[in-house]
Amino acid sequence: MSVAASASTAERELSDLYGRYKALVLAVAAAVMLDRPFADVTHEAILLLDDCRTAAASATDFDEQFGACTAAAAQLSRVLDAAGGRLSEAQLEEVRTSHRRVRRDVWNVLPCEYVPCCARAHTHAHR
Amino acid sequence: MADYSIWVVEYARVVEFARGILAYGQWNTGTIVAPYCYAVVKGEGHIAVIDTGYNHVELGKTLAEGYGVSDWQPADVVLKRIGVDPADVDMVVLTHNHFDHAGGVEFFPNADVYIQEREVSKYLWASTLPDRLQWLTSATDPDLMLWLVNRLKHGKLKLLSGDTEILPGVRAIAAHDTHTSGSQYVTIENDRDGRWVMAGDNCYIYENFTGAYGDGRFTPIGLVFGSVERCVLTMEDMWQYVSEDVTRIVPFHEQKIWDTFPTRQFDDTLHVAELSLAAGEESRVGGALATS
Repeated sequence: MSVAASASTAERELSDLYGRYKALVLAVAAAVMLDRPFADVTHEAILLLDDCRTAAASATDFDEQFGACTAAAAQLSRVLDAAGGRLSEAQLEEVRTSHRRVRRDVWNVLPCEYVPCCARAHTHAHR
Repeated sequence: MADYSIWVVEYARVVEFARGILAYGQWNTGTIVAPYCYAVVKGEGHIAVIDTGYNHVELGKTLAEGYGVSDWQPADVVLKRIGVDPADVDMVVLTHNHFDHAGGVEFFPNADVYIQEREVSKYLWASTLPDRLQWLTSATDPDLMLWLVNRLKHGKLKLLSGDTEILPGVRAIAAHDTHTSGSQYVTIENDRDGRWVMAGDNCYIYENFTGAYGDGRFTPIGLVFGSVERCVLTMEDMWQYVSEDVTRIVPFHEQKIWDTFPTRQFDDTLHVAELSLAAGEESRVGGALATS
């Protein structure tokens, strides 16, 4: 059974927003390491923030998680805008802290997306 | 060529690891014990670790509980068993950027960290893909990447572009598009006892080489983000490097290591195997094979 068939709309929306946020943070870290510009990431972060706000405004489930996604996206967008192409250690630490917070909140209601989760038979205690 | 001591230290294990993950296609064939290990290479004035384990907090704790990891110990505990202080480790070679290999970078604050550039750059590419394709990034976490950025800020991150000699006789060999996009393994050419391969997750167990049915037909690992073909051909490169002696290839999830090399099992049940001792070094394991 696919996730599309088994997850609620709210779960899918939350998973999608968190996944986009996570991908952006990975991309920012990669860009810094490779000394590449992250203008594209900055633009994507703004789009993500808009989508998070829309989802949070209409959410009937997972208020806390949608709020956390919105806060994290806002923080990422703000940091990238202020960084001017070069992130300081303090800014990176802000991103790390913010990411950890949203990850913890999301993992409270969604299974950890890491693979291969289920390397052995087990239940997700956090579901 | 040079003279290195080599140890494999176990820092945790999964008691019931599905064989289907460890060897391709072996579904419904049960589970085996899979140790979580990394290697320590000492010599030529350096102490290098190949992979780092993980830290059992936050990300590491969550993932470890999902995998069924038990008996975890931090680097200072397991390295003390071979007389090494993590602060004295000056090189960390990451075979790939998964939590059980790269999640312990913070344990080694003074080390230069070596990783293939491709293992990093692929995440920049993947961020442009739609969410439905993010399985490609789902085996790493921003925490792992941000630790590497931290090293970069301190001038201690070395991004490798392909095969690179990192110490005399010690080479990081690119294994791109195998287990991960930018995997690598490490070869060691020792004056005294010849060639070794620290495989990372380019193989999980000896059976990947000896064959799932013992017929000598390579059976690659069961979790591949790149190409299975590249996995098999990379295994062939390793196999030829060690002249077809499987015991010279060191998988970091193989419990048979403890029966293959002089090994000591400690009170917490974790093992240390001593693969090679440089001139003047004393054995850390008493030269005895474990009974486990």
